[in-house]
Amino acid sequence: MSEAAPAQGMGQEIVVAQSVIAPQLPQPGSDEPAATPSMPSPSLPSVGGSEATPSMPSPSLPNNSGSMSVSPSLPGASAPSVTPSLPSNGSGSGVNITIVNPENLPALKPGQTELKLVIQPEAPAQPMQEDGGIGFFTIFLALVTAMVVAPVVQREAGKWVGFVNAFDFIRKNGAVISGYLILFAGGWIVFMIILPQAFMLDFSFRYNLPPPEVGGPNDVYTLKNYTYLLFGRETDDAWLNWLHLEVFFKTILASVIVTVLNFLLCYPLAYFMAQSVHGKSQRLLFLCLLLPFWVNEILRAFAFKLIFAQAGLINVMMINIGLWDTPFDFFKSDVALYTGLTYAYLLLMIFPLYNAIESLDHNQIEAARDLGASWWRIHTRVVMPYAKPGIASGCTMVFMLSAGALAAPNILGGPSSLWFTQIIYQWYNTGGNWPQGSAYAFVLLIACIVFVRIMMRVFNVSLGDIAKR
Amino acid sequence: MTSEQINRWVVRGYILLFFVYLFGPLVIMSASAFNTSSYPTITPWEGFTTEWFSNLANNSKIINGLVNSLWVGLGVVALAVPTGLAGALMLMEVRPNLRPIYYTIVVSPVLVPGVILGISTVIFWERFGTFVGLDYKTTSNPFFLTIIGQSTFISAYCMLIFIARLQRFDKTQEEAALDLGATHVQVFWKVLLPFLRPAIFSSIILAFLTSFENYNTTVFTMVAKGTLVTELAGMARFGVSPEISALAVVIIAFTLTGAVIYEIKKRREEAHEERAKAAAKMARIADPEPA
Repeated sequence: MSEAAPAQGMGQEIVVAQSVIAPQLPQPGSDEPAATPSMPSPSLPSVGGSEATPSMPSPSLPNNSGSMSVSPSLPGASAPSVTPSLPSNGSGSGVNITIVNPENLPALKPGQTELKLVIQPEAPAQPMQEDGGIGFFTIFLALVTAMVVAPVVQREAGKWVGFVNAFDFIRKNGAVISGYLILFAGGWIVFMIILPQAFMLDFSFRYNLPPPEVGGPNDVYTLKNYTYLLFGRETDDAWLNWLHLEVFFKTILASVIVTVLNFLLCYPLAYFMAQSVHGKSQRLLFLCLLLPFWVNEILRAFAFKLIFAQAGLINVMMINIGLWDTPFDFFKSDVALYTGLTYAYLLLMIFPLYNAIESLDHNQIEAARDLGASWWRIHTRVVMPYAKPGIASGCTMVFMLSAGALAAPNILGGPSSLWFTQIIYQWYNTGGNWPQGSAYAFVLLIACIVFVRIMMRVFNVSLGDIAKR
Repeated sequence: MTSEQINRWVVRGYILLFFVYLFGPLVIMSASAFNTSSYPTITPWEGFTTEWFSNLANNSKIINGLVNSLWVGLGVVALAVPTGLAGALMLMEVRPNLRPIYYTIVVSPVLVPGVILGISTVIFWERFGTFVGLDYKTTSNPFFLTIIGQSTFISAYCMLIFIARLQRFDKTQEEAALDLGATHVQVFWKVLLPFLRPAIFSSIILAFLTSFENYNTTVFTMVAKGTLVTELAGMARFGVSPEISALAVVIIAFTLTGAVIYEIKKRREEAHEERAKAAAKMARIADPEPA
């Protein structure tokens, strides 16, 4: 009884029993020092066998709350062994006992109890004991954390609780208007902006389950939807999911190209309108620019479909002129898509640029010219630095709308080329895998946020400058 | 020819090309609506017809879509304009050091791709609806979802319009009214809203047209039903009938009318503003030391 001795020295048989069983129990928080400080060293991997028998507490231990005992008279090398363990679900409702080598159990005479497997009715108390330890430790940890965090929380909460000064707010606006403001602005921010994004993020980490299983035991978190974008199915040959990754990077790259094209096209006109045209002709130019802006995105794309079609205007004209003799496939080569996208967001580039350049004092340009600057230097050193907020705003809007475009790629994209939003749409629609679609959508969102951050950093502007149109 | 003249011609050529690029596709598309060819094209021109317009009038899908679009548009106006106004007024109430955070949150829908707004709206209402025990029919109602989804970002547009207008608002008017015994509600109705009337008008038109034209968000939230634009996208992708071109002509006419009204109104307001400013300047010159 050497191992059990110290524990017995504490005068509690219950500890003896724990020392036998405890090493076998999967301890949900086994790294916690508080749970096992008084335990003797766990030296018994399994109950049973000749080695184990000497240390076994006597089967006739009278009143311990939970003990298990095997008769000392077990035979031989391959003795049956008894492995107690907690049910793995951790619910603590009982102890599973596995008997290995049951054929070697000694034959029992009827009525004889040489092999005693006694489990006291209090046995389930053991997992509760464990829980008690964890519970204590959790509370302890929580207290410590609270003590550490409390000052920080207090300081921060001061800021957040005072987001609006509630008392002043209601006094200033009256109850009815305050109610209206809080209901609409609060509802908008919470139920339309923040929570939907949070739910989408949450959903993207879940399995695609049929409705009855949602919220059930299978509804657990997973990284599967994100790893799928990177690596594809495990059974795939290729290491990476090239199909989708390629579409993703192509979408981002193409959106950047469209943005640059848009800038190159719009900058001269914006400059011209802002600095050289005045009065009535400026107003007319404005109206001419605005009108196509109000025409639907889909119709703008469709218009290009007509122009670039096999028997469309360009192919017919070029064949008539004799430039080429078989119709050129503009859709397959993505020419149609890029042209259509550039066209679609032209005006979101031109107005921010115009607004930014318009307020530049023309004398600055004159001064630079008088001092001998070339027209190139005037633009790169005087006009563009001044128009930074406008450039950032226009580029961001065009990039966002291009990367997030769905209609134009649907209509103008080639049969074999995809846009990232089209994959998202497929996951939702034909694929029927919403969590997967959410994960892809979230990746797109991250890409857009990164782009905005880069624009803000490069052009040194605030988000307010970008969102203004 | 001097270099200045060359310069001028280059600029003119560039502007001409720019506007050809801008209007050419629309003109060609509109023209193809009147071609007898059964495929929408202007090459070859086979003859003038208006039959595609009468076909269009009998296309029940399109008519249904149009009706749905109108209802959604009205719903969005009813939700997004008050929301945008509340968002703009709230900006003034938020403590100055937190304004950037608040502003970032409320303008973020403008910068988020519409596809993502649509998806998140559908998921949120499906899951949140089940969570709080809302009727499934409510949370998956295409009109409900579409109005909510579109309003998410259209409210932000409206808010930007209101913020621009509110920057010129003289708070002392409100204070004066309150001092003279008006209630807060009276101040809101009789002082603030009349001042904001042009902005309200602008945001109603903007909200309706943006809603009417929206595709990216709507295609997710409208579920099985369709608006005019989603039906149109389906036709544009697969259909090869000149009915689309005919519809394009109708929509262009419709939106252009709205746009022209909007622009004229806006310009008139701006001109009025300019005059007021000039008058104020004159007054200041005449009376350099106001009492």
